[in-house]
Amino acid sequence: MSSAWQFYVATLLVYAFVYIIAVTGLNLQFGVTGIYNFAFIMFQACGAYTTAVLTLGRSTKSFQHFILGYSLPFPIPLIASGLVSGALGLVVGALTVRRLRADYLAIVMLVVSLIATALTTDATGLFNGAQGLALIPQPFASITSSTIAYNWLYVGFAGLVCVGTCLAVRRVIGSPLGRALRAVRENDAAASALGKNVTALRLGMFAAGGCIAGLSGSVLVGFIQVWSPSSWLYGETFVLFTALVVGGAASNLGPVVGAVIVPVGLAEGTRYLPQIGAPTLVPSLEWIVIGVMLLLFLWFWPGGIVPERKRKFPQTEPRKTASHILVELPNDGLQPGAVPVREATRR
Amino acid sequence: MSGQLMAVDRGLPVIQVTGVSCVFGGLRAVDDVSFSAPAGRITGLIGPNGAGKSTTLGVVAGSVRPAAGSVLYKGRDITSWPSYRRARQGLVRTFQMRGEFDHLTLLENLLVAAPGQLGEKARWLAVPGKRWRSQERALVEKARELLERFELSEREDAYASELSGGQRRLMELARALMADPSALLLDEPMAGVNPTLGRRLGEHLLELARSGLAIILVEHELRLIEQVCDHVVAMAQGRVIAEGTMAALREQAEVVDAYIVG
Repeated sequence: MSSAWQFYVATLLVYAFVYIIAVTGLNLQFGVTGIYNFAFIMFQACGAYTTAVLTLGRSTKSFQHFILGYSLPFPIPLIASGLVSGALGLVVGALTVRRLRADYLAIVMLVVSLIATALTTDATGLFNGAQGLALIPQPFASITSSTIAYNWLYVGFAGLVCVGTCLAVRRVIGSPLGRALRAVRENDAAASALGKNVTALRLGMFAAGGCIAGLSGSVLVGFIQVWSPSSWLYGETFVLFTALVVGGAASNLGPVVGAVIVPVGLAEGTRYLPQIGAPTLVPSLEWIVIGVMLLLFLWFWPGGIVPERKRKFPQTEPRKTASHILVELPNDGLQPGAVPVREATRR
Repeated sequence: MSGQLMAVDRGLPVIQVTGVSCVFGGLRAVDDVSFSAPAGRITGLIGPNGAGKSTTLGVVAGSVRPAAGSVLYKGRDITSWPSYRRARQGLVRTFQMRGEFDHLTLLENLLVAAPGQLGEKARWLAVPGKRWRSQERALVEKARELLERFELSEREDAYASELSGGQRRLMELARALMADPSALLLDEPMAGVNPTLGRRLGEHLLELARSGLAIILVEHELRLIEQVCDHVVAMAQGRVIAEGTMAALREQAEVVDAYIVG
């Protein structure tokens, strides 16, 4: 591969991993727990900004203005990004999930996202306002001076974070915790009546999803080295939602498939189109295509490409026959001597 | 935990409702309602539409906050407890409608209800461990036994949304039992159930009461009430208008006017 191609492929892979991480976090919130977090991108931004201000060094020595300003070595900024975004999730969750049900929460989160963008843009001392932050240090710059080698190294790093995230979320989804979360998604009143602390579960997923989004932001910003309010406009959240719906919500593989098809595939697929009309036409059409995709999938293919799997439990020992149960429970309403259905079908 | 059924003394009030009132806007949906439900008895709650039966049940279950009054459960004041906390202590309700987890299988619906699951806690999931998995296997066995008992085994892997109305009612009852209850609050379990299944449901309830559960049964279907309830509380317009056996209630003109005829 020529170095240009290597650069392109490596960049593409990093983007794919970042999107997979983010969509996996969203899957935990929306796919599994049924939380409409329309401010999801804000948590990715929080992670990106955290990494930026923990690696950029003192603001006074810089042309840009921002808070904190440390030069902490890897992996502290990555971990901090996860923790800060998770904490932000807890705060936002605590203010909203207790009071608001699904659709109202969605509206409020959308507004929260807009407020966050406006705040970061206008409070220029926070993260350098609309210009955003640039020249964010690369975490592994000291290891190699070759750009290509560095990019491949970064692919490996992003891949590791991605695999780790996917495995952790997979474990949650397949566990009794995942079942309780799906119960909350299906019917929160019934879940509560069966002893599930619905508020705590939702809050936990706000934090966990926020943490994962923060990790994705940290990985992304360490690669592209710039971050500004235009990187995380509220529309980006819907790209992630579309990816999740297209790929398949609440499944393990769905976020991977969706992230590869929607943000990565669509953006790269249109890159090779000849210019039609104004230069902004194709990028604008992308948004329309994403919206149409979301609608079409919700309408005709709501399970997505890899739908949520039905969970079946293996038979651990030979089933007790119904006649055995009759002995154990003489008053359960069965007539003695009645042939149990399964017995009858077996004969 | 199923041993706790044995620990409950029969005749002792498991649930004690005292002076409960609920106000929605200007409407007094429940007005100074008091009654009790002892272990081993099925206490019926009847009355016309809008009498406040379901709201009263909601107060006992913790989904409705009363404006006044108190709810005692096994002698403890639980009036301010959230519903999940009551459920964890064995006070479990079913729903009048839409109580299922639609996109969970029948078996999973039951498994959700099991109390004290290690695998629901992040600290158990964070470490490689077998303990929650072996607990899970035991719970699957328990759930399968309940499904056998209610003759639902064939539908174990069906989504709850694929069940018939009657099967859903049975599933809800099985699910409530999965939670190791000492008291059951049943909100119109007969809705949408055919008479044959209804009789069987009644027999199940009698069996459960015999095993020591306190059961409160809100029901429109008087046949079921007559079949299973030793004690019936009749409500109208938010108040308790009469209490006693069904036969005694039929004698009282007020109840007959409010409900049985009208």
